[in-house]
Amino acid sequence: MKLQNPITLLLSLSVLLLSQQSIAAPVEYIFITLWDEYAQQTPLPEPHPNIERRFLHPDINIDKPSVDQFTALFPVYDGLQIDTYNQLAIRYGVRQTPYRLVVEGNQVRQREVLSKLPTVAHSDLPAQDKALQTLSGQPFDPTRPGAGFRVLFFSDSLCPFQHIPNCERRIAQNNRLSANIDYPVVSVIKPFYVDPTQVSAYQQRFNVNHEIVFDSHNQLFRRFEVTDLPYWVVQNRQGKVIYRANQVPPFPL
Amino acid sequence: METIMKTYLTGIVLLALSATASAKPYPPLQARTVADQPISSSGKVTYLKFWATWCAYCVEEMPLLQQAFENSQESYQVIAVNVGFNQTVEGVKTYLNRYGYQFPTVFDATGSITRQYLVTGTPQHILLDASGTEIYRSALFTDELRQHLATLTGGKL
Repeated sequence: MKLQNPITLLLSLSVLLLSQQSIAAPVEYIFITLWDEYAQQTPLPEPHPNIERRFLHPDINIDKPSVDQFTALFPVYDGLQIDTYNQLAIRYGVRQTPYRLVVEGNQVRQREVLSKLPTVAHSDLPAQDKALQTLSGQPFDPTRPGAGFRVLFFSDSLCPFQHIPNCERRIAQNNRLSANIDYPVVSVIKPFYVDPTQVSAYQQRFNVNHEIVFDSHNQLFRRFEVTDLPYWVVQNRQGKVIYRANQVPPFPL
Repeated sequence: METIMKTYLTGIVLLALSATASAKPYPPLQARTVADQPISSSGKVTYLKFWATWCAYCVEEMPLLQQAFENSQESYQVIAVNVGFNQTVEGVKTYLNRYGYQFPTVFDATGSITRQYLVTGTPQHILLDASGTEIYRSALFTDELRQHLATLTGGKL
């Protein structure tokens, strides 16, 4: 057996001790669902001076751009990480949010629910038909398209996101369509989990130069029975739907 | 020309075979519904929908799931899988009763079914053939999903 010199031995011992210390250092994990935090922020307990706090998001209905957008609005959650494959949630049996754990080594020292479960989904609220208008303040009547055809482009300001496949490409296609036809094109934006600020951000992000309606009560999605996104509907001058698909309408129709 | 054609056809066949080989069937789903009935995807064309009561997109589509269930007859079976995260069995039962939904629903208490089918978002629609191989998957209720279901039932949704 080869003997190591004393300096190497000391260094190895120090590294071993430091690594043991870092494994044993307590960590506080706070699991949150950012979509719930937008609706109501969780009152967080005061951080412990000697315990590192880490924010985690379960790996469901989430992606990096959504995390970045959220932490920019709520800096208190700076450093929020996605718990990839829900590894820590599975290891520590976390099945709800917001939830707090203090872990030391591999032992859970404390665990607590930070508030009650979310109950009602946005679309579970009663349907309402209200007067609609575009972001520029023009009235929008779903039954009166005006002269000629009207294209309704149903979209989502959460784009890019996993439930809206290829949305960036299809928004660009719609912008080209709008620039190339003589009929009005109106983008109709889904209201789930967003507010008018995010719709305006969508307009700027994708350089949308036509009218946009924020369908705040989901009434246009209901009326035209649109469940796929993004999606095109074309009305004739009487308001009758003459085309509907998740493909760009091929003008001339 | 003939050689090029043969090479091309061989390539197409190999591509098709590799695509088939990569589409591995999932192990059958064996579970109990919230009504405490056993249910299995084994040997049956199955339409799985992963959902949660807090998911606005999921809840909006529920009438379509009920419609698919009513039209399915013997052509496919519907299994609604509640992902169990931020959910309670009682809450799910209350929700289903409130709207009179009758499709079989499984509560994924530990998240194991969600993991088994590699689901990372709600809603998630998955169509499996009788061997458990995935035929179609989408996040929302798409025209393609509607078409797949209509084909299975011979015309109805």
